[in-house]
Amino acid sequence: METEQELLDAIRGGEREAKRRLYERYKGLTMAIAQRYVADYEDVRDVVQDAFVKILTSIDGFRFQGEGTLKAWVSSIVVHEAINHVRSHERMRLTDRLPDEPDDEEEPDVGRVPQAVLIKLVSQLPPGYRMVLNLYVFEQLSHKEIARLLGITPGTSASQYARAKQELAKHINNYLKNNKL
Amino acid sequence: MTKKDWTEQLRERLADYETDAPEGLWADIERRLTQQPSNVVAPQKQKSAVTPLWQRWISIAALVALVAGTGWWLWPKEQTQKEPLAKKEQMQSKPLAKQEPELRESPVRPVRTESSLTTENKYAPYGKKVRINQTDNNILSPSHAPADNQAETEWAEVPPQPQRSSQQQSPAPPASRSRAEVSPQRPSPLPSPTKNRKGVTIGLMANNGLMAYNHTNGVQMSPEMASRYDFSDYLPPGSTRATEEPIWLIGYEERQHHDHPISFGLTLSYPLTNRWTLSTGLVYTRLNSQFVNVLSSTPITTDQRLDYLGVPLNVQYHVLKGKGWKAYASAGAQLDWNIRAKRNTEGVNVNARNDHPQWSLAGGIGVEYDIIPLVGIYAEPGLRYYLKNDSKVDNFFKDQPFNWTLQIGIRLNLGKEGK
Repeated sequence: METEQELLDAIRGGEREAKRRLYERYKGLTMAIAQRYVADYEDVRDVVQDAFVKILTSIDGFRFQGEGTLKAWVSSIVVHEAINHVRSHERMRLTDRLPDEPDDEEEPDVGRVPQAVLIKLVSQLPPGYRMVLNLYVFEQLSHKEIARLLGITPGTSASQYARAKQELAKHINNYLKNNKL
Repeated sequence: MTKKDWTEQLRERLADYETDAPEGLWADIERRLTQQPSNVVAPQKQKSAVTPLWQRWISIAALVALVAGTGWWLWPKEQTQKEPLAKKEQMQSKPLAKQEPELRESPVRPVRTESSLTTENKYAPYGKKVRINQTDNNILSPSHAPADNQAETEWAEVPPQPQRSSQQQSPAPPASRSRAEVSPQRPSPLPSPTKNRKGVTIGLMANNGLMAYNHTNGVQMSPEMASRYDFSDYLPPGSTRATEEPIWLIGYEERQHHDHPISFGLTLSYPLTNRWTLSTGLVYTRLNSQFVNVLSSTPITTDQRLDYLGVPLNVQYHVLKGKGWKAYASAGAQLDWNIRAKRNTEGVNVNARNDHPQWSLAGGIGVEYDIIPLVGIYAEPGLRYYLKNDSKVDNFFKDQPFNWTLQIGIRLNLGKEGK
């Protein structure tokens, strides 16, 4: 399999087909990432399209630092594109003044839920919960970093995450219950 | 034995998950690449970028107008009178030359204090100061002999006149000289209020914070996750882990670096009294920062650049004055507007939020040295404190609100003859 370095060299060398190879290599990953952030499938398509246009027009500025960094860079651009899309198309309510709700939700067994369903359930969370949960769980950002990215306080990020986690656990448990899994 | 939090299982299940891409997506991407190869900004962002650009230019224009207007307003009225008076003096210089004996006793010859005489002799070799009685245009009339009524007098500068060179070189009249020599009653190191108030000063300045700021955060395991981990394999037998003790994730890190803020600008100063000076201006400041997120040992770098335009308002108190130099203390406030914000993640421009207006308070001491009579250079070390502005934009001001600064600059004293 072609390494990231070889793929980059081919693109930077002007090989037209190399861009297509980059797309083929990361299209599935980028679609999955965008679907976690954006609920509407048509919007997912737009996000991925915008992300690839950015990736392929900015690839000369990318600093390759070893195998795996190209994938991480591509993923981070999709994440940024998705966040920008949600910001401009959905109403994000981000507050740390949330009503108290008992955290008595049973831990869901995510191993029994199909991946496509998990993505669907994440994407159906309210926008604020969805952004924070995605950034904390999948992008592994700290609440401070999430706060900087979304323009909120770390406390708001933490409380949104706690509520998002509770909400998602409820949805997953409902799915398991309804499908008798 | 490690028990994983369910969100950790969720992450692992979806980390490398891929879904099908819709038909025709690559064709659309390729078409956009062909049509606009340099277009890296999504259409909706281009639209939103137009309005802030206009707002920025309007803001800049308004600030320039404010500073220029303030300068015009503060400009001493004597300056506008200087030219006609000087012309009048030039027009009448010939008769003056013919009436040299009278001239020595006339108002044309300056009668000045010790300090002003010294200034004139040392710093004004190409000009000559004349004292003009504002209440009467006929300044050459012998009936308006010099008097001690200085409250009604103003000073104007006259270009050098060949006919008068002999007069300039001739010994000063005894009356003036004696006054100059016997003026020990003015020991103040500063010029008199009347004279000093004339000089509006414009200047160019550069300012650099003296501290850069680096900060590295490890990424902590979330408390929920930590509470479920079994650490018995990692701890000495019989010991337990304190629940409040943070657990740092290996291979995850956040680093921040804020460069020195760089400022430069135009200043305008107006003397209020002999010791107090009010100054304002227009200051451009740039803040560069770098944020690095290390995720599973893969660094993702985001560069941030913030451009500010600020208006300072300071007062200076002149403490000491020597031969060609002076020392002063300065204090004031500044309001900076973030006119442009850019973030770039690994070569790709990403959405950046503008910072809120930023107030800061500053104080310092400065020394100014006149390299030539009209031009002085100065250095002003000081302290600056940036007030909280409730913005979530991470920058030097927030991470290092209190810092040392060094301002250096050049001042052009438009009213130097007044000194």
